[in-house]
Amino acid sequence: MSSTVALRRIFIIVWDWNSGLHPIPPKGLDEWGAEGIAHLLVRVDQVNSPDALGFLSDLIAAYLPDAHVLVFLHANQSSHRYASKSRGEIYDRLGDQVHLRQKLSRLKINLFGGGGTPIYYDPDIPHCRGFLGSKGNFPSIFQDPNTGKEQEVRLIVDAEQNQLTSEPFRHVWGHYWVNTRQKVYSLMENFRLWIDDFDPARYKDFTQYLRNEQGLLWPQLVYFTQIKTELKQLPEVPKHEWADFTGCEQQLELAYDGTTLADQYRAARKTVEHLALIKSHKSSEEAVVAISEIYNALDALQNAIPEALSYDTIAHFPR
Amino acid sequence: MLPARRAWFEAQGYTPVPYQPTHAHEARVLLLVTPIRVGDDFVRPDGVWAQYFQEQNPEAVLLQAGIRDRAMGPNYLHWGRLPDNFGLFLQGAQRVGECWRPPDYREKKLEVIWQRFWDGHSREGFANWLSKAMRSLQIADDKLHKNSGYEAQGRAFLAKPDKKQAFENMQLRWKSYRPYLMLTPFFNQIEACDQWLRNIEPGWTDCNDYQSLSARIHDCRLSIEALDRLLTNLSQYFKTDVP
Repeated sequence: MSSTVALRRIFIIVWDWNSGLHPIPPKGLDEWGAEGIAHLLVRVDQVNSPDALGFLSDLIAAYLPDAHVLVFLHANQSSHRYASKSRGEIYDRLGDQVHLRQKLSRLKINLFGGGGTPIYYDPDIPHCRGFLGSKGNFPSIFQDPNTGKEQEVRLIVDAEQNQLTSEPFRHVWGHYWVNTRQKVYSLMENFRLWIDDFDPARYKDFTQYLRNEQGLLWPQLVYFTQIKTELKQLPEVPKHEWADFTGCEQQLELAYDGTTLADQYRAARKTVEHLALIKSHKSSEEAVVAISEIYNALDALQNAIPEALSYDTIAHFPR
Repeated sequence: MLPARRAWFEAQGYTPVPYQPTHAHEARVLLLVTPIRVGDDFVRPDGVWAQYFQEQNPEAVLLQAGIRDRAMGPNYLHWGRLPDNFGLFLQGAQRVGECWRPPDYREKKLEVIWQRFWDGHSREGFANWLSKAMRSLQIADDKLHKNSGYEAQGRAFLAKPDKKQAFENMQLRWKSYRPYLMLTPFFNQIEACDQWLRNIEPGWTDCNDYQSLSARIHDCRLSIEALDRLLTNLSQYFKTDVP
């Protein structure tokens, strides 16, 4: 297990908490623990303003030295009004502090709003198993629109002790931090696009053809397969978020109860490693089969991961 | 397209050509090789093409092409398993007019991206900013037309922070989403929108007198009204099966 997994995970969510059943105390924040694991949800309900950005920056700075921090800012225009530039302002404020500059890779700031994304809980949407119910509350009672039957969702384990179940912590982390499906999907489609112009008659150059790609695909292939000799040859630049497969395998085991998905991940990695980076293809037919097997092993894997491809990567807020 | 694939089509009696808007009415087969990369994203515009062709050319067959083994339906052309007889394959495929809809592979759909562009969250979409900017121009234009003494007031009115914000946000959202909109069959319309939006860039300061200001505002009004009509009309093609 890598050292990055050992750090605590802090989730800071700025949302309509004060409209709910458990408003935030006057000091402006409270903390909720996760049953059985050391993760922490920190709730804040402040409208975007210079003071609020200062408050959030100080809060993040306090956790960052020994934790990964995942922040969610409510981008709703009628309530909290955070936007992309809020994210940049927080990064700038933290970057001004020398001791935190090296730790900013431990921080991710997301904008959210409008429902239907993994931070929300919606019994009808499989990828919505997050922290947020309706009207500033944790999810509790849902009514089936067809039958009218009520269904109870217990997220709060102990309201006195501020303790929640561990599921939303794992679910939200998987979606917003590790994002395994998005990465595998991106690798798979980048592979398809690049290989679409490959002439199978050049089967002997298959790996070299992949290596010639100047974009995201080659680093994705190397980081996914973790072949040491290739890793050493990659240029020393920061990893693109979607080329960083650190923790993906462990996350699949942790988040989805069991090893089936993690086994499938390992099998896909072996397939890609062998067919794309190691094997010398002996004929054009072998190369064609290899292309199909690589793409389809990745496709089967990404399709099996119960995560949604996030639309949050698309610029939907004014910059 | 790989020479070998082109040769296969030609041997089957078909000549693949890049799509042009003039093909909308005459194309027999449309080959979609999707998802398409935009930046680091991959997006499927298939549903929008299907919706458009259903209206324009329901006899056409929309094929999806690729190497996906778990691909579904009779309209998927697998590069690794090309049929012996493409003509027969086409006969087995569904025409757009037979309500063919692209299968859902849980990928990003252009329809959802349009919804984010047009509606946004909580009234922050393009439609909202467009409507506010248009209303400002209509008010200023009407008042200037009726009263030449309105010049200074008109300038002050359009310089109000909320009016400026509407113009700025409209332009910003367009720039952010334009690459996605270019995945649609509406290339010409998008370019017309570009032209109108360039024309609507606030630039009243170089209009030194009533006449030039009045003409400029009126011109902007015509542009923004044309933009509104065109995009409102296009929005129907994005209302397919958005969840």
